[in-house]
Amino acid sequence: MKIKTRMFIGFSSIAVITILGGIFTYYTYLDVVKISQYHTYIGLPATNTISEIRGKLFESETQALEYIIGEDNEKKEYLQTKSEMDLLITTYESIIDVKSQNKNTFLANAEIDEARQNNVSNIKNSASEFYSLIDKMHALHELGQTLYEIEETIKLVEKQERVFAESVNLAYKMEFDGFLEKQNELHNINQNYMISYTTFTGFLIASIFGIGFFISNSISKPLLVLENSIKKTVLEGLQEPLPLKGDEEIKRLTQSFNELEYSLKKLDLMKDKEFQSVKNITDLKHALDSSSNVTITDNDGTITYVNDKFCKISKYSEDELLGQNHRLLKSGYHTTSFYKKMWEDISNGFVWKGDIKNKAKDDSFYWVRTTIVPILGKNEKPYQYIAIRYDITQQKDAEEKLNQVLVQLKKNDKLKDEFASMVTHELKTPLTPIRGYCEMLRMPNLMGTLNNEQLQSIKEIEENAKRLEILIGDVLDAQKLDMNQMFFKKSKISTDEFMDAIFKNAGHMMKDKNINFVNNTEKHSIITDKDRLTQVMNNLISNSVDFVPKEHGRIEIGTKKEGFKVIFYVKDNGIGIPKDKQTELFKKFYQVDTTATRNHGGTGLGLTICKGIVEGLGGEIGVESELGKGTTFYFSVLESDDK
Amino acid sequence: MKILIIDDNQSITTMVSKYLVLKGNESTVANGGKQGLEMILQNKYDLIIMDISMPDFSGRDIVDYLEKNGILREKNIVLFTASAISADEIDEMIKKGVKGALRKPVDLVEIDKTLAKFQK
Repeated sequence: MKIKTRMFIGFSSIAVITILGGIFTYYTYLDVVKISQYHTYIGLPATNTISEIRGKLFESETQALEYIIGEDNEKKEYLQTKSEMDLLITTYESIIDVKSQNKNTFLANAEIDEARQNNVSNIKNSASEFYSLIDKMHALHELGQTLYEIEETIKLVEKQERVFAESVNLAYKMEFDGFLEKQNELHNINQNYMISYTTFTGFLIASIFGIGFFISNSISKPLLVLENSIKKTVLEGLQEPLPLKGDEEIKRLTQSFNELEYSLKKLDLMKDKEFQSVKNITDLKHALDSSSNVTITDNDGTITYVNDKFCKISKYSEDELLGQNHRLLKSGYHTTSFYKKMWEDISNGFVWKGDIKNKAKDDSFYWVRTTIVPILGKNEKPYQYIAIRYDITQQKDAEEKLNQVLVQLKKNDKLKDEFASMVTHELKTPLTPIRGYCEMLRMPNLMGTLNNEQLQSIKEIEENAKRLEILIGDVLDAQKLDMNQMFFKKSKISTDEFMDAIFKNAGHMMKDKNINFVNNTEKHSIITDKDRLTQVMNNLISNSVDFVPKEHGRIEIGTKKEGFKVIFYVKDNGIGIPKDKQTELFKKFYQVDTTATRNHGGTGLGLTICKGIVEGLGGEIGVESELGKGTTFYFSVLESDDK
Repeated sequence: MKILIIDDNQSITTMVSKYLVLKGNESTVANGGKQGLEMILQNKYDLIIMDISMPDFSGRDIVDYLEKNGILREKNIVLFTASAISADEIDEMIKKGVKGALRKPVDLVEIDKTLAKFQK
């Protein structure tokens, strides 16, 4: 219910009660007025009646006089009256007769009858008196009526007048008694009126108070609850939402209060968050201050803030730095364009990152890894710059040292490279005349004929020279692979042609050593470095040659296609390689069997070089072997796209 | 055949020269780049066997000079080199007009083959 409604009903009730009370009072008032009127009336009507009667008596007197004067008329009237009287008497007598006839009936009540009889007699007497009076009057009239009699009559009239006056007095007295009675009645009415009035007024006041209390209670009680809740909110913090009770307005007010509380709660939460944010920022600043040196400069490069760490590294005090231009710390190490670029970046709102060498107060230098963040104002242009720096002086020093070492290393590398070239050239050069002369000596009919022993010796010299040549080549290749300096010259080749050449080249040696040499090559097109691939094949073949048995030795070379790859293999029926040694094979200077190696005369670099070349050409190398049964080395080469 | 051998290593020139003479050729030796170039320009040879890596004036310099003067292709120059020079470089020189290459240390058989190639 709305307060408006409640008030309306309340005040309407008061109005209705007031109107009813008014009507009631009005009617009571009318009664009072009536009685007051009666009260006024009491004196007057009595007097009026008496004078009226007096007037009537006077009239009778005059009539009597007129009657006496108007003899004839009177006589006639008298006669008429007399006849009427006679008739009346006759009638009466006849009634008496009837009554006497009904005497038996009346005997039952003797007393009443007697009284009646008395009354009858009295009436008779009165009648006779009346008759006599009439007779007298008649006689008077008859006798010519004397003044005396008239006077007597007047006296009688006067007597009657007195009686009448008495009657009047009596009536007056009666009237007075009536007045008293009325007055009493009025008093009572008045009293009743007073009682009703008081009751009504009391009721009215009580109603007003009641309604007032009812209204005020219904309004103030929820308001008090609200007030308490507000007080509680103020003193103790936010409360649970209040239940929505009472009038519409109160409900709305409560709702609004709840919403206000909710808003306050949200505000509180926001405040908490804000506080947390501020705390976070403070913590962040603390962390930043602990970890890095920080400055803030304005648009002109004037320092407006420095933290302790910055003071420490720059060896200036805060007072010495604030208000100074950041140029103060310039070391002179960086070029003008370096600073120009930096300034360009940050003044256009970009974050700048870089390493800067600065000069401290004591003219010592320090390096800082710097991030300068431009802080943009409302016009989207920077109005200040926050620089966060980390001391990287030590790192820079180390870097510098490392650089020096690197430069030295590069120099060394170059030296090594030069050394390799020198070794190749210088070591191979003496071999040329050695081999040349050996060959010349070996040739029949060129420099004379040698006996068998001499020929064998020359062959031995030649073999060793060749071995030395291979060794030099291996060392050089290993070094090239090591330094990533081996470059390949790729071209498209056909596998069958390539393998035919290899087969032919090794054929003589196989025949000499009585080895069954087989070529099982399919025709494929590949892109590879032919010379290097030949080197790999020869290396693998010569390995096998050293390990096949003296009798029934067998070596098979060939290719197989596998997806986009062509697999080359060299398969022998040699002594085999133990499983645990197979993975070690391709490691530098690794030799499975030293005695075999000694016979083989390798450097232990052969397979390492093969692996390096195959992988350098984009393939893979591997081995499958079973002790006593044989070994297969294989490697893959990518097939050419077009065939 | 009239053959010129250019190599800073005397031991090599002596050996090759001896072989060539024994095989019935006329052999001349130059033990330096400059000397070799002078001789190339002054005389006419059926074959010039030339080392690449030589101090002061290398085989490359000779090739460059002859190329610049547009006479490289006239000269039957065969490179005589150790592996210090890359295969690419040899190919490039052959494109320019060098006739071939022999790898050190060399099989005399290879020299025979080369000789046969230029035999009139």
